Amino acid sequence: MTIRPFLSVAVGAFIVASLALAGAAVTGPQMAQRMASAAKSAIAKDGARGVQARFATSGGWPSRHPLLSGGEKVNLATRGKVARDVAAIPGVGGVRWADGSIMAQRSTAPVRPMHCQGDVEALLQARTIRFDESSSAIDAGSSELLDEVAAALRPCLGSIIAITGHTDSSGSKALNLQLSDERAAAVEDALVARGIPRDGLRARGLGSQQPMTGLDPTDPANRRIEFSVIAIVPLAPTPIDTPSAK
Amino acid sequence: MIPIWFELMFLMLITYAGGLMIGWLLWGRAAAETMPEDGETLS
Repeated sequence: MTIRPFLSVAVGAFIVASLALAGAAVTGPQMAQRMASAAKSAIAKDGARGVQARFATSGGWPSRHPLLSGGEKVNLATRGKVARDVAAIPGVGGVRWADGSIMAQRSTAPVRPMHCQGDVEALLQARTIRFDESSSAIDAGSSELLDEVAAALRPCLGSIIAITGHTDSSGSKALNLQLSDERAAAVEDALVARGIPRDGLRARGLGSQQPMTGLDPTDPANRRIEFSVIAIVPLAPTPIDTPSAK
Repeated sequence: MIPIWFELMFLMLITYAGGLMIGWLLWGRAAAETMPEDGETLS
């Protein structure tokens, strides 16, 4: 008799799953019990009165991931120590507090990598990103400058970087707006091609609305691309498995 | 909260799948080497 391969694989998987369930039924409660008593002594050692570690899911199944509850009057440092000590018990997985405030609190302000904006401005002070006349095609000679701009922006990854295109006031207003928009988008594409993620870039054109201070609006020097870091997106710590969490 | 039975079952099924894959690779190669070419018969 020939058993079709997928049938034998499925039967094998069923046998393996059954073995796992049987194994878990036999050893699971004992394992949870052992970890629970170890957790109890760790909590007592830390002097956190009223804190309980529950090694079971809400459905009552034994689990390696304890839920700590109680001890509302225990201070934060002790709560952190309890969570760490319980997490250090062999076999214990992620530890969580039942009150849900599981995010680790930062003690220091996050680093704000704003300096990259200054770096980019310094680069663009002496040189400008050039475009072909009345076109959004970036001049081949600006490729090196774009490489440097991309390198200067790299420390700001994770931030929102605005790319704003400006033109001088010669020509029609609508055309200028469109051109500045296209040029900003071209710079965005060039930066993406240099490894800067697109989701952190926001390109837009302002046309000739904002000439440089002290310059005549018709001055060609108003044709420029500006970069600014408009928001820092803080990196949130993972909410699970943070033993020092409250 | 993940129950122990789920973790154990997951691990064992992954191991089973890995074993199957390795077995298939090794057996498949061995079988391919002894496989007769077109028009050839095994003596």
